[in-house]
Amino acid sequence: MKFKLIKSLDVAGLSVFEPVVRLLWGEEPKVQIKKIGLYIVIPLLVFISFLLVWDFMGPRHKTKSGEVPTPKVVLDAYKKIVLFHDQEYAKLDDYNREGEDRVAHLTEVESRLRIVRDVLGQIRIALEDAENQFQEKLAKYLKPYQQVVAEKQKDYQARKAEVEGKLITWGKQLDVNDKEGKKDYIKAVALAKREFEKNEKHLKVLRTELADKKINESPELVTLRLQQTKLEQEEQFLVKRISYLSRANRSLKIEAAETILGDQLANLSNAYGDEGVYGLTLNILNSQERIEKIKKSSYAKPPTFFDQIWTSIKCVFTGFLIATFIAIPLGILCGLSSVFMASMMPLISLFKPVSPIVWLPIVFIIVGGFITNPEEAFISPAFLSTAITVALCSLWPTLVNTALGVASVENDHLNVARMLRLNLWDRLTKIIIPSSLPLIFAGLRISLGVGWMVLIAGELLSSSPGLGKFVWDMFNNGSSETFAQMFVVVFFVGIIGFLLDRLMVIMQKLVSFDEAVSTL
Amino acid sequence: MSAKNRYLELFKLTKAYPNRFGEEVPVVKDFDLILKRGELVSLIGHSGCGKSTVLTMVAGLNSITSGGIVLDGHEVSGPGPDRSVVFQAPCLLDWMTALQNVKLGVDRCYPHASHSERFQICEYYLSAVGLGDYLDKYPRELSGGMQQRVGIARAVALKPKLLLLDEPFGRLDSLTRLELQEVILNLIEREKLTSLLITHDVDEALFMSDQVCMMTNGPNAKVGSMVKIPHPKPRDRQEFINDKDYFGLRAKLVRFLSEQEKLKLAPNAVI
Repeated sequence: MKFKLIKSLDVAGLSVFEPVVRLLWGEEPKVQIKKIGLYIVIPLLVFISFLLVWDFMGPRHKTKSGEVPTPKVVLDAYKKIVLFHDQEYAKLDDYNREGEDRVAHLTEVESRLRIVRDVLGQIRIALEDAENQFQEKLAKYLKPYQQVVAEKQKDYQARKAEVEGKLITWGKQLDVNDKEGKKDYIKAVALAKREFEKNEKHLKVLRTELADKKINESPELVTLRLQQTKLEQEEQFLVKRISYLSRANRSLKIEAAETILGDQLANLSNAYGDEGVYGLTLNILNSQERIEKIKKSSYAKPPTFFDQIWTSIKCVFTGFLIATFIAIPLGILCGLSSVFMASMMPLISLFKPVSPIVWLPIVFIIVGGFITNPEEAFISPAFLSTAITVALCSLWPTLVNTALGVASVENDHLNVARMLRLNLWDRLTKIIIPSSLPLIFAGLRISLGVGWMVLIAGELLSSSPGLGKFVWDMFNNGSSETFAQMFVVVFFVGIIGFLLDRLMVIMQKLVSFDEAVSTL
Repeated sequence: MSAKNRYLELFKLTKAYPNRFGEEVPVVKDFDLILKRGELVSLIGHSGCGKSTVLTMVAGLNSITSGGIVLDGHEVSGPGPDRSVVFQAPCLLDWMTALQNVKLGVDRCYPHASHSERFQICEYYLSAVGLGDYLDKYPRELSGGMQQRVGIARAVALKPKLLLLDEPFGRLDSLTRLELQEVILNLIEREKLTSLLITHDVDEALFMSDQVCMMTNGPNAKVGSMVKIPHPKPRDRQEFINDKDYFGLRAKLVRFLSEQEKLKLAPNAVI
């Protein structure tokens, strides 16, 4: 059991955890703990310090979508994503429920809604109280500042009135020819005007200061507000559920349509002569069609994050398979014949460095030429063109590695084949391909990694459903919440990429005559 | 001479490789050798003298510059299962079990045999080399000596007209080497095989061969001298070593080899 576990870890390329297994079996605890410390704890610490640095740096940069989210905000965003996913699937189930199941769920949801509304009512009252209290407190706090401003304003107004009065009286007393007097008068008015302006400015500063004065909301108020939003959202969700369990439910819609159909059939059986038999029959046919349509209908669920991930994985494997089916045969031919290799070289060198951003629009148009009616096609053209772009960008590592593997089959093995006069097919299947499999799989591993990276960019550009489109939608939304959700995508893309790579490592080990695999 | 006495004939066999000026330099030149049916002849000589070149030409793995090879009345061209080779390295296919490795050749040489018959053939030869219990083992699970046994079984299972042994014990320790010499001699005895053995071990050549062909050093290597080992087969190693002629024969071989060595060091010296 112990060695089986250790071997499995080795095959999966996770031999870092080997000391843990050995420790569990009590083998040289000191050595194992030291290894765990060096190769598990230290990397963990580095990761944690990365999170701390992020947590510290994030809020220091303000963007128009809010602050750069901290790890906690990202985690909350992830929880929201999960909640949305669960709610959408609940609605989907509700739409399809029928009979007693539907009624049971309906009563359950209705009772829950009553509770939510009760709590919500209480919270609203509490919130109003808290809000009033807060406003009172705020007013109290601001009062002295407001008084200062008011007094100053009054002072300045009084002063202005006084100075202006004096100046006007002086102006009236001035003689027509008193040039000196008028000069002095101008000076005095200018002085007074400057003073008024200074006072105005001072008042303005005071008012801004007053506006900036605030006190923090009490924590209860914040929690109450959060609770309120959360409950309101749940209330909305429950109302939607009730509608899908009652009037918008599929089985109920069918029932309603069937009742109408029954009436129409009864009408037809009684109708004769001028009573419009033709029209009645047409109505019946229409009703029947409608029932069929409802039966086939399903809840129009928007794709959730996890649906998008699944689509992306399907897309990357479609592209990867296309790439494999092109690259391996071509690679084998290249490895077998130097002439073929030389003739392929210009094409390979030309197309290999082309970026997915260039391929995608071209592929999109070409695929569009084949699929003229996207609604009725069995595969979405956006999906197909993304997959083909993935294939075009990821086939090169496999192609080159296969060619290398086939070209470097050991001479001894080829001599055996020549001695036995094996035909080309036997030589390929029994000697050349098996011996180049480890290299081919090394190429496939790189290809899948490249494909996964290209895929996100491709989906983003082509608006093909998937993680890339999710990022694009979040970007266009531009709120601070969606900003945090983009960070969630980063982690998911990373983790899935890692898992895909592990998968390929396991495959690679399985074909490489590895000791651990054969004795597993 | 009858066809029986000229079972394998190498006639003025020459192999030349171009040097860097494009001039053809013969490694082996005018090499003449005749084997009787059922005979084992060893080629002995210093390394690099062209022993392996002769063998690969006979096997068809190496093209002939001039001269000819006739086996059992037919001229040889290209490789084929009628001349099977035991290589110096076992050359097993790592992704196949011992049985599958042998079966690869058997499938080619017994196209009309049923599946179970082929299996029996493989099993028979693997048992003959002492690997009856290791049919389903992969090469990496076998020791070097066992791998070479599989290589021998694969070569012999082809029912070849000529068994070519290209230093088959070169990479083995001396105990395993002695064991495998017996294994091969037994098989050759049982299957009445004609074989050509390449070696640079004087004792091995003496013990295993009916004739020893000593090659001069290359370039232009050819047959320096032939020595007949008259002792009847099968031989007992102990008896053979204690035989009165043994040391004379051995001295003859060693003398030839050391003369060649001197020539190599000082090509113009008069001996």
